[in-house]
Amino acid sequence: MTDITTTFDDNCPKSIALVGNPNCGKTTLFNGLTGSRYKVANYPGVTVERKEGSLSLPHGSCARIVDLPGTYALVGSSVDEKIVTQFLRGELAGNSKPDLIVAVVDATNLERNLFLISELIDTGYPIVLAINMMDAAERAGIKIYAELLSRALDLPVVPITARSKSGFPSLLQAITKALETPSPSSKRLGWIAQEHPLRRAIEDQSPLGPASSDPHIITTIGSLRYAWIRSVVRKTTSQSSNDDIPVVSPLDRLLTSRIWGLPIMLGIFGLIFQAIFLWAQLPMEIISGAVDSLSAWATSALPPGILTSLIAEGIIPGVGNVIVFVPQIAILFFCIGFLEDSGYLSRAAFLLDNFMRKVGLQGRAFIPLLSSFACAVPGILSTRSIPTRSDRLATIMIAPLMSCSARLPVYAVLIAAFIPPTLVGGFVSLQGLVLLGMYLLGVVGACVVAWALKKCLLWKESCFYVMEMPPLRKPILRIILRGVYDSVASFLKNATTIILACSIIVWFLASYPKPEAGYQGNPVQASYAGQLGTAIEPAIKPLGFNWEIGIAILSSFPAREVFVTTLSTIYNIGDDDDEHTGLVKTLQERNQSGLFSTLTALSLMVFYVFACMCMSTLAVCKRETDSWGWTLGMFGYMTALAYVASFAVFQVGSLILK
Amino acid sequence: MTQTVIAILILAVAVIYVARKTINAIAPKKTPCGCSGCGCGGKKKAEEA
Repeated sequence: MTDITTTFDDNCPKSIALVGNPNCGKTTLFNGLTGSRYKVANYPGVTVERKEGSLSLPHGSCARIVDLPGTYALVGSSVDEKIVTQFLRGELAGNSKPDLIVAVVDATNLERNLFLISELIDTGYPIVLAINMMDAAERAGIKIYAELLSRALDLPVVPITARSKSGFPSLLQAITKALETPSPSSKRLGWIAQEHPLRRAIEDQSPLGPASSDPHIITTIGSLRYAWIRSVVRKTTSQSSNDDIPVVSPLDRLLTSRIWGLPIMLGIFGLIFQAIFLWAQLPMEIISGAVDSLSAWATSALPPGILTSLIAEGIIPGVGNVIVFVPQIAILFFCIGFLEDSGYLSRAAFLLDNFMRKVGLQGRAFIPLLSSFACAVPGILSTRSIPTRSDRLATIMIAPLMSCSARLPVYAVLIAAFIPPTLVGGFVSLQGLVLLGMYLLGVVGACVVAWALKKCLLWKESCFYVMEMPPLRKPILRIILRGVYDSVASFLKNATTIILACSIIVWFLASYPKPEAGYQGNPVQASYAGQLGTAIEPAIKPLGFNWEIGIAILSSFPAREVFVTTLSTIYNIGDDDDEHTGLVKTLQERNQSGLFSTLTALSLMVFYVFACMCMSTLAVCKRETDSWGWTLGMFGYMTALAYVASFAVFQVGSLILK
Repeated sequence: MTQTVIAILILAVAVIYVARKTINAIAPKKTPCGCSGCGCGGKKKAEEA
């Protein structure tokens, strides 16, 4: 449950913990200091596990630096918040207590951020305070007098802007000095007067121990801390009374409007799916042409034999037909990165919060579900920020219903082959609309399942949640492009490892045993794969699928993209001629000859919206729930849902078309 | 003949790769320190001890 990603140098004896509220820029600072490339976004809850890196300090020394999940207080109840306290207590496996805390605060929200700092001061750790987002504070007319704040808290205080790496040299100097001569702040328990009746009890209590369960004590401690913090903030900051700076910008008001908010959100996501098809067309055609040419070249240039068949009919079309989708993946992640970094996604969460509560989910579920659009694995890991077990289980169970990037090649190849590239109303692409429909179908399915789970299987737990709204800001192209690069690299890594391995196995299973002399049918049907596909055909025939599609579905269990790979391989081996055409063209030819109907394609897409064809998702579900019951339950309900939905689409569609 | 041998070798590597991935997914290896995938391989625990 407490994974750690390590890139540190074992020769660094000292360790530093990065601690702060969610979305105050800890990971951006961590990336800037260590040269790492961990995901950052303009919303809270991105980091749910600790990460380590090596920090080079002036004078040639180094230190291990640990980026911890964001927390508002040291008594957090969710898994990720507990990691912070466990780490500071030195209880996490593989880590001793840190030598220094670098506390990161958001300069635009100093008062709220200082609550955690007051708790950290009480722990007695040496602390360096980094005030981040100074650029945003300046724009908002907030002036922070670092010297005065340093004296008030008795801590080294360094103003920084992590996104532009401004203030880093001063921060590194402060860290070096604090590591060489560590001195805890003298303001420990400075928020409570010596003669206060609670003082003695609080002094006896460990600051990292469990919080008091008495609501009166909790309220009193909170009030006293905030009273002290307010007096510190009053003495050390000033806010310009510039009326030109609105509290809520008109754009923000429009994006979160009760009337316009939802239509704008649908419009934004609609535009993204339009772009995926329109902008990616040309680069996809170029890559597809290159794959076909390479396949044809391999057939003609290499001597005939098994190896040539493996390369020309297995590896090149198998892997090539997946690589074709790189432009669409890049566009999707560029758009998502833009929305993430701008802060829009928190507005979307705000708009959907009411609806999510109606289906039994809480606001914190939004980020895990959003992450699942990229991949269900980080999505399920993000559920660690959900404090109640029943809400966490419900979110884990529905996270794989969000259409991940591995489904995109399946949707894209079927849409490109069967949905005409016409424009609805003269400007809306029908292909983009169908793609948007598939994504929305997954979301609707997830809501229904969540509602059913909370009604029938999971208990209700009340949980207080306040969602933080980050400021809307101009996205940084470098951060967006880094996200695109990481997504494309991960997709290509899959294509050249698991997908490549699967395409080789599929080629073998679809090529052997060779049919007997005089066999008239499709040679693939006589192969091991063909026999397996024919055996399951009666079960999938009501969904409109034949034995070829059956093989492709079975083989896509390790990774959904393998569906595309398998169809390419099967059609290439089954074709009598040596001419290599892309999978889209092959499917269109089969449509014309009545072997693969548009209704089958729709049924197949719906099947992939709901089916749990992903080994990694099941593995991470087992790890996070620590239960085979929930893991098999996820696989079972998703397979049943996929079967029923696909059956309904094909049978109802057949009745209508009759 | 050479083509057949190379093809069989490639196939064997692919089968082993997929099998290992599957086994790791179903039953992830525990590190000597008892944690699951922390990356330290039990080294830190040993150092602390």
